[in-house]
Amino acid sequence: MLSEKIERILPLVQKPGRYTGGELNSVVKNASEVDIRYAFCFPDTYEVGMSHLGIKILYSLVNAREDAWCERVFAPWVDMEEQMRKNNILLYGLESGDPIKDFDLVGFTLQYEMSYSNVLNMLDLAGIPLKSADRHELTPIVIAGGPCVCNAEPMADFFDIMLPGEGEEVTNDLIDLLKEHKAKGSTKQEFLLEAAKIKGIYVPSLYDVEYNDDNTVKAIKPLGTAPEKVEKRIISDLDKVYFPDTFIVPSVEIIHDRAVAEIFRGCIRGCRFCQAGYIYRPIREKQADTVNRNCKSICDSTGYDEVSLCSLSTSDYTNLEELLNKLLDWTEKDKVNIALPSLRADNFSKELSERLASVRRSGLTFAPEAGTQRMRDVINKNITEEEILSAARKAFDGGWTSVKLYFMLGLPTETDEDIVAIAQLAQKVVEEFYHNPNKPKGKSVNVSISVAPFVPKPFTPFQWEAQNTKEELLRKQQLVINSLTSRKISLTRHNTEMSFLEGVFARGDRRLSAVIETAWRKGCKLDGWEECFRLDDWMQSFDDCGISPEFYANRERTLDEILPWDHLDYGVTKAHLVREYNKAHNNETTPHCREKCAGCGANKLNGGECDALRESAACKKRQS
Amino acid sequence: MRCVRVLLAKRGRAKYTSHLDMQRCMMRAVRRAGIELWYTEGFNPHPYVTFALPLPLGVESDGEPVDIRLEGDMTNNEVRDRLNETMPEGIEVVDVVDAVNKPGDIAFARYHIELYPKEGLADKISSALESGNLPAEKLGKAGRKKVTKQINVSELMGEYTVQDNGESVFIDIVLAAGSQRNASPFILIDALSTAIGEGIEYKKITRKAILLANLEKF
Repeated sequence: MLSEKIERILPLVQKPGRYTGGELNSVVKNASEVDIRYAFCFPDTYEVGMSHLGIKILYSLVNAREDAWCERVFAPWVDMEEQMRKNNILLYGLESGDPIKDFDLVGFTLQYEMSYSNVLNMLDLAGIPLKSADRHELTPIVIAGGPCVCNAEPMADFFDIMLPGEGEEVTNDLIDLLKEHKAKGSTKQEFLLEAAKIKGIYVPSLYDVEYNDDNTVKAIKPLGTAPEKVEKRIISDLDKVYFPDTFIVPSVEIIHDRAVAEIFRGCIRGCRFCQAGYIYRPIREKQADTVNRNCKSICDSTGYDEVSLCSLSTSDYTNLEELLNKLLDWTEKDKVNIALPSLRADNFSKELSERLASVRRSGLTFAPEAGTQRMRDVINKNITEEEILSAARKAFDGGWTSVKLYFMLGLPTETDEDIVAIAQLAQKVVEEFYHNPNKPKGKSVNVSISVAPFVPKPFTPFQWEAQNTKEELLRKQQLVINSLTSRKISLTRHNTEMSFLEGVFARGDRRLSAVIETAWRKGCKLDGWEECFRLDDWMQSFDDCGISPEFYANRERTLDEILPWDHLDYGVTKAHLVREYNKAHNNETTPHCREKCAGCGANKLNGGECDALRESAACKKRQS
Repeated sequence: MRCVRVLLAKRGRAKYTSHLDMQRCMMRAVRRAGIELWYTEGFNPHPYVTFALPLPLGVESDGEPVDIRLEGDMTNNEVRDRLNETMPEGIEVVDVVDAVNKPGDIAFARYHIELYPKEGLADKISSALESGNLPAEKLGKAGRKKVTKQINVSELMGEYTVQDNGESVFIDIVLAAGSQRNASPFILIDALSTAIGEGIEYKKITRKAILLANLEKF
């Protein structure tokens, strides 16, 4: 319920529906009947956060427990924040309207580095002390999950607990433990020491980091009973994992306003730049029946007319045909559109394109990532120019007239020749359209290319590489522009200053906590939004703290350097990453996991099991 | 195919759902309710769901008319009951009727406006409404350009009453509505603020009814 205080400010802000709660399928409980109140915070706006699948899963999972109540919290936009501060309104949970400082758990999901300053801003708006060390009571315990947790060391000062890996099981373990310690009246330290014994729980304050004179890490030492290495948690059987029957139906349009079902986790491809491809291993698939059931149940209970299949590289799903057949059984009748947001150009079949177009057609996007074959070999994209052109041909033949192509700039070993080739490849795609005998009459083609600066990420073979400087990236962007030869090609560029800061945080250590706090005090927040991003204030903050951001972003590391995330274990071994690093520098590719197991080591997380391993063995048997 | 008019009450938090979001909300409710919609037969088939008169964001309503086109022979009462089982908090179907008048026939709307009280506020508002001259600025379009137009709200209003019960000041008023001449309750409040020279803060605004030129219910 909304207090009169909140009601009075709502007419003064943009899109007030973001701050009211009360959406269909949101869960309201009686606060006096639950033991644990959990504020699930997404450190960005409502429209962004509500689009995220993880929050939908964990929200329903916690609320399925009788003893806990999970509420949603998002970052207010600038106008709302101003009104809240002016009227002394503390950040509240959307379901109850109660201030979250009185909750037991305050959890943030860290999806991208540019949201870090929002975490501080939200804690402050909630009236919760920013630093873990300044919060002395047992509750609220402030936790973080999501992909950035594989190296959220720059946020180490602010979180009591981080959860590397998949959250479904460990969230319940953590709630159980907190409930027990709350009843016992434990101190926060007693609770944290116990929590650190649970697999997949990382307590940053239980690790001591020493540095060398050259500012590199000297040692990371666990204190007391904390484990030497924290292994990420995974769900072994995705067919048995909790998945919600329904989603909250937002009253304000959100970015991905549709039903979503997950079809597998992990990826077989091993693209060397891609963090998701490494940190979500090993690959585990859901059965087509399970996914079909998930899709139907969500569409029926929400009224959505689009369902999206979520995974990395969706066309690698071994049951895709079976699943599409099952889905089309009811989606055509119910006029539900199927979206496959992540397709590879090398197994995009004509049949698939026809199926997808059978209800309604959305855009098509392919990601060649680089312009030349040499460059694509270095990053192990394992896709040829002919495969890209052939995919475009099939798309045009299937009636599409616009295609999006994603590329990266600033990849390791990149030369100007590789960059010019991006424009040339786009031009060849345009020509494919005009060579198509079935091209629709009177229609023109639009090839939009997007070039994003490459940011090296932890747990990838490129984790040791130097990121290109802002100036170098600007020069390279200009080179792409100068190489474009057709008005049929449109270009989207990414802000290089933002990529620079992203790069600093991605491979940063915990000394950056001071910089983040300083920048937030200067007013930095919503850094992912162009209109709010202010690099000058960030640079001043680095200066104030005596820290060089270039040390983190633009410095090449040696292979034997201790990295700030070396005490976290995401399954893939460092030895594998080194092998891949060396192959990249020799322009050598590695076949995908189903073709030949590369021995990345991630299967140890699943008791030695890996779907790809089983399939590649079965495949070899068939061949012999 | 037949066209029915659904009358939607919008109360409480639901008033913060915008016009475009209400269209999405209605579409999804119809799908959840298992009501079979008629689809256009063009290249990109879509259902026909049209709100007769947009309701300004933040205003509650006792019955917003929405026209939908149905397949099959579901009765009006069944449509109402099925929708009410699946509507989000604050949105209720008060009636489903056959669509007789066309949305173009809409001429007026009656509003109930509740204001935070102030000493002498009711009297000041009464005399401002009496004066016949309530200038206000309205954002409009001249071709593609956005321009500010000067309007006189007095020319866009009908009968009214002003009351004060100590806790709130109430204005009940008929304002022009429709695509030709339209005045929102917010424009009226702005014009009144300017006229009496002090800020007016509202508690709640409700659209009570949508009316034809002869002041009969739409």
